[in-house]
Amino acid sequence: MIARWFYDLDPVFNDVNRLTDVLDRVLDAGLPLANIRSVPRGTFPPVNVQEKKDGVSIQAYIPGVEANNIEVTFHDNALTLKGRRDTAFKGTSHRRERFSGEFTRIIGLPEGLDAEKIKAQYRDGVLNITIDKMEEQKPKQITVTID
Amino acid sequence: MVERAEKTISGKETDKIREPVSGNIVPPVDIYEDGENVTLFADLPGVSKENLDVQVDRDTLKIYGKKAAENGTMDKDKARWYDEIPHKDYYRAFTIGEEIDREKISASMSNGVLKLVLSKSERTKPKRIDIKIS
Repeated sequence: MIARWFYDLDPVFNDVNRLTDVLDRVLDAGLPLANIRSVPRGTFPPVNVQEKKDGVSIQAYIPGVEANNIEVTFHDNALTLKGRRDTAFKGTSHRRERFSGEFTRIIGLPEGLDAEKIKAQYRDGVLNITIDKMEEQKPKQITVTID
Repeated sequence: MVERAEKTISGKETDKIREPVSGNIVPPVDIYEDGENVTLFADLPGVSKENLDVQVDRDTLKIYGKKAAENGTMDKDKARWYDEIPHKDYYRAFTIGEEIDREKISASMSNGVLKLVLSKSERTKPKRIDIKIS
């Protein structure tokens, strides 16, 4: 209480107070509130998975890898993404923040997906995969007839 | 950053600091240097060549990347089972010194990775001076 009163009246401490306030805000901004479904920075590759009417859509961000060097397998309802990315370059390095090396990511998916109906497409570093649901899992419209 | 912080301390518009940081994805970068160039690599998955914007504003190098609309496969309003990539654009800035030749910056995109080659200007390159003995 006394400290607070002292800060408010003193011109120097008042400025220091404001400065720490600004610094707190800057540091907070660097650590924004995380989405509960997010992963720590550095997880490679990060993915988005969404259920569709007729299947599941998976999006993995794997920049800097040739499409034929990404191994995609689907087995026992688990989708595995495997590959390797080398980021080494000549000269002295000042920053090395990008992921380098081998990666494996296994994504668990629910039952009822058709392993025969998987499509994968890679563009601009984004891998888009769609897996269709089995026929009996797809929603069906039933027409009611009146006798 | 320094300039902005100074303004806010005196001007009380503290909320403005948040915008450039939390509104975008800060892409990870690798930076290498040799005698000729400074080379920067940035991960910008989902950004095509047309949606990339690299600017040099005096001593600030700015990299903007606009993501294509989720490549059309994710519904924006529907819940996701995994939601690890925010639907935001990329932005990152660096300060560059006098030794970088502003006219000789080349950028290329490949598989979502930006490669920026910043050449050092001739006069700042190390030069060998021959000493003549008379």
